[in-house]
Amino acid sequence: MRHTLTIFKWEMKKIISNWKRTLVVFLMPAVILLVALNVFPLLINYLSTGHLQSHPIIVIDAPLSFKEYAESSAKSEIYDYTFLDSTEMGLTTERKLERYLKETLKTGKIVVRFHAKDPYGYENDFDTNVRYYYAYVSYGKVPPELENEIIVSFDAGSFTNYTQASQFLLNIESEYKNYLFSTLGEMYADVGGGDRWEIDGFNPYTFVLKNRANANIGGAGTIPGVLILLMYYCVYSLAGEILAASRQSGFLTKVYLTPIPEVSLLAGKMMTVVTVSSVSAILTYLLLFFSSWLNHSNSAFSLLPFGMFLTPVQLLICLLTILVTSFTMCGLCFAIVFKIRRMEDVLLNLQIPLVVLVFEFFGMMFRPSQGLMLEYMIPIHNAVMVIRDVFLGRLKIEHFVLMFLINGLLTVIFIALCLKNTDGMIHISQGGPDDSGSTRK
Amino acid sequence: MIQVQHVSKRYNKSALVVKDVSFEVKEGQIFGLLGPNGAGKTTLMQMIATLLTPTEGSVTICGLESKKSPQLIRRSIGFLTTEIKLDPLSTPDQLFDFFAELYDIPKELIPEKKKESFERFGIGPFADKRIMELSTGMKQKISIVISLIHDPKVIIFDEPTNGLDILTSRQVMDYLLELKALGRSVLLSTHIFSVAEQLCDEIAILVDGTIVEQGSAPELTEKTESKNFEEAFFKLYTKYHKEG
Repeated sequence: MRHTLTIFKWEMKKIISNWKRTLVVFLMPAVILLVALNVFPLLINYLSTGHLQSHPIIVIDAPLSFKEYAESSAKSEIYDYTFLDSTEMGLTTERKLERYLKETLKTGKIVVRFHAKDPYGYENDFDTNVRYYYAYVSYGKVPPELENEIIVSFDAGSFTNYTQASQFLLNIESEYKNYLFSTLGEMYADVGGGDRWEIDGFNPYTFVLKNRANANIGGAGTIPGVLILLMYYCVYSLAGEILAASRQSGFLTKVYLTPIPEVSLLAGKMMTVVTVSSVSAILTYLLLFFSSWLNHSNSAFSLLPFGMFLTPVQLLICLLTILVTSFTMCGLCFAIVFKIRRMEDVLLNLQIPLVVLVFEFFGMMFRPSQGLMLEYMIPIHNAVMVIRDVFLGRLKIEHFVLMFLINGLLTVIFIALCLKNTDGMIHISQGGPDDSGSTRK
Repeated sequence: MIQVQHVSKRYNKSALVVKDVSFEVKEGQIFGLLGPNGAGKTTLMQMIATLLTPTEGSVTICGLESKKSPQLIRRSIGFLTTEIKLDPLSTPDQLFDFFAELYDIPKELIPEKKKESFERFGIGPFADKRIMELSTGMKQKISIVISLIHDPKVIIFDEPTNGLDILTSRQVMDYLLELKALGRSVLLSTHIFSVAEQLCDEIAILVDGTIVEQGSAPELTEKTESKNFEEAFFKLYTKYHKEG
């Protein structure tokens, strides 16, 4: 155990003292993927709407309530509003308005017009009509039919404009209606009508729960795949560095020649890889977690929706899954390194699982179905499935146990293979087999 | 100290690389293995150093058999080869501490031992420099210090002067003689005649994995009726080397 710790401390010191390598191994892949995850929705947004983030929307004759709503709503952040007054613009006749719309829609913009007919005979505007409506109902009277209109004009021939307008209506419709009720419908609410107060609206726990349902489902598509993919990247880089490269240079042979047991040497190296890869996975999770909580705009295409949250028990399950999978990956990489001598072949073989995991990542991002029992028996893939189930809040304990046992058993097999073939640690020089495996003569 | 008895080595299904080799290295003796590249010197050295397992035969060091007690044997041997490189990003200071810990040297003894070894080879001024920044000669000196950190009874040097300048070569050769004087057994492999002639009490000529002749340099010269040791070697090589 003492020798294992000596090896572990030595390897860790080497990793930490080289800040460039540490940065590359620990943070860079996670940051790059984080950027990719954030750029991806922007790209989808651009492809479907023609704009990167803020959609330009021209609002004609907007009432004060809409301007205030636009300032306060988080969803409004993804729109770039231009407020215009029809009278000031000289759009006094239908013909002039039509001409203006024709020209504006050609440029790919969306025009939203607010229009209010006055059923009360007091020359009221949009907001006052709503206020009067609620005043009528609060006194128990039947109000005249409200004839407020929000007219959204867009180029129907353009798919991107159609998507943009649909998204705007979807986002604005329910939220703005609620906003009108909570601001202009005060009188109605005061006499006991409607549902003015949200239950526990001030409670941060309720706030978290309200958002996490959607956010965790969104996170289930991306996070398990990212965690396992980056963890393998870390494991394979380290296995290549501290085992294959060290053997190639002969330094590993020098350590092997000391009187420490082979199992201590292997365990020390393994501990290093598992520690670094697990820390890397945890850092990745934290980065994605904070990214979700900073995603205020919560775009429809966002892969990490706002408010992602796992409970401590869920986090513990994820951590255990990461740990056991890290051991399996480490065992796999070590077994490959022990079996294959030539550095180029080692790297090529270590990269095969990486390619598979990249496909897995994209597959998991868009898969809709529930996991099959068989999937929990496939090593490493079962870890992705378990973390995914944790995010979806439907993890069955038997699936977790199955994953733990299968990955654990496989790790033991890999370690046994390595210990059976300890020659794999030795640098074979001139007299031994050459790089192609045949004896040099 | 070292007893090699009927040792053979085969890699996978290939032909034998080392064939039925036997010899003995006594206490306070420098024993040389001389042969061309590919003769099986390195494989033989690696088997003696417990890095490879003999296909047949046995290697006994300090009364311990290499197949049965490799870990115990490693406490008694110091193995050095130019094929084994030191970690390029570490400093001599860090390497010394690391290997001292692996060899279970008591912590309180490490600073004194380090100072003594570094002074002996002039490593002191470079103790905090990275290995990659040092010259080949200095790297070899550090390798020697690290390999002999535990004061082994048996020293195995594979091509100890390979790639070194004449000054460092001289220093290494002097050190080997010093070790001999201290009663250490030294087994070295070389393909340089002068090294074998000057250092070794006994030399085994290795051709195609077999020891074809054994004795001191003057004995071998006399046996083959040659003018000098170099000629003796070539006579033996021509006689025993199988073409193709």
